[in-house]
Amino acid sequence: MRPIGSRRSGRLSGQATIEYILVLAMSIIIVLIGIGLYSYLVDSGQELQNSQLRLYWSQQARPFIIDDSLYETSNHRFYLAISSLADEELNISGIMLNNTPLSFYLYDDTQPDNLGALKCTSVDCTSTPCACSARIRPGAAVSLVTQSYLSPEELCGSNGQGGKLMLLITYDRPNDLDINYTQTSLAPLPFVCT
Amino acid sequence: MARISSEKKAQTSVEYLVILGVILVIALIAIGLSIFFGQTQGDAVMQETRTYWSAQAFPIKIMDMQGYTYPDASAGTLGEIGLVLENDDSKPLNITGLALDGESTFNVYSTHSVSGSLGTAISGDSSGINPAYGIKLSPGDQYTIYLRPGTACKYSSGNPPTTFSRNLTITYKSRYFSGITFKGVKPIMGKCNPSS
Repeated sequence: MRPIGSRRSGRLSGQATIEYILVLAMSIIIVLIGIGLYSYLVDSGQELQNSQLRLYWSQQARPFIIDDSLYETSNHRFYLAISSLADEELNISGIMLNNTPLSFYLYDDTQPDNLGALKCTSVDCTSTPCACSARIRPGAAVSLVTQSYLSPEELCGSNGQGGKLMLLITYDRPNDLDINYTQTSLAPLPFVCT
Repeated sequence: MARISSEKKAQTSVEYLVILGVILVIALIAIGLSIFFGQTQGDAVMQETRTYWSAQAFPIKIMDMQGYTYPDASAGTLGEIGLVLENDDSKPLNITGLALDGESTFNVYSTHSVSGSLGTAISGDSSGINPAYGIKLSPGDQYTIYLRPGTACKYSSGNPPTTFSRNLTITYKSRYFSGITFKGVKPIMGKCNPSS
């Protein structure tokens, strides 16, 4: 016959094992629920952030708003629809994406690659310093196509859907050409890959 | 000794209740998991594509998609795919073309065909919609269209269709740019239900 103390100790040991397994199971369940919630919220948050960025660029940016921003995967060019909210004529003298200066053309859907008139002194402003000029009257819009910039693999993300990058527009006032202004990105510009 | 026995009984009752409670919780979790995993993998993929098109696709979302087949109509009757399009952009868009991988030509309708007969198309051509007309959507607008492709959800007596899955490319224009193509990352997908 075993002493009472020994029997009680065995039961306590069994109880501790059950409690340990229970705590472990509950921890695993809580972790799994946490992972599921996290991935769901990350997806939702990403979409929410993109819609906020689109809202900023289409309504709140000054003096230019971006009504449309596309990246054409077939020719690696950006298509930007830029509207001016200034009360005077402005002259866009440069466009930079992620700090890379790009030349740009007027959009013309009757021309190959939609390239209308070149608005810069060189077709390649990335490797050659060049001057650009595209005037926009108050409240008007201009549709521009940039020179080729990076590849879809680098820009369109793993799902090929789109991305976002920093846009910087330099401009001047035609009546005051000595002064150059810069509209910097307060937020990245989201774009759609087509 | 009597006190110890009473303590033991109480402890046994508590342990019994705890174990009972744990078993109940585990049973409930098991039931939940079996319901969750009871869905076939196809259902899960279908749900995933629907979530993509209704929440992540931009600028044109598809809020709902539904396939129809016509088992009572004559063999060879085309199936139908209903899509609820929504313009998620802040500017008006004009959809000028739809293309489905694996489908050469198809017409687009604005009403569902109950019987399977072909009515008057919106103005179909090889790309689905006549670019001269298009489907104009203001920001936030929804518009339901019904495609009648050559093979998706098409009834044949020996092999009744149950699901459809096609990659969809939407061509549209905004007030700034034309001929923009948007190809969804995931295909449109759904069940081919008998029309009624």
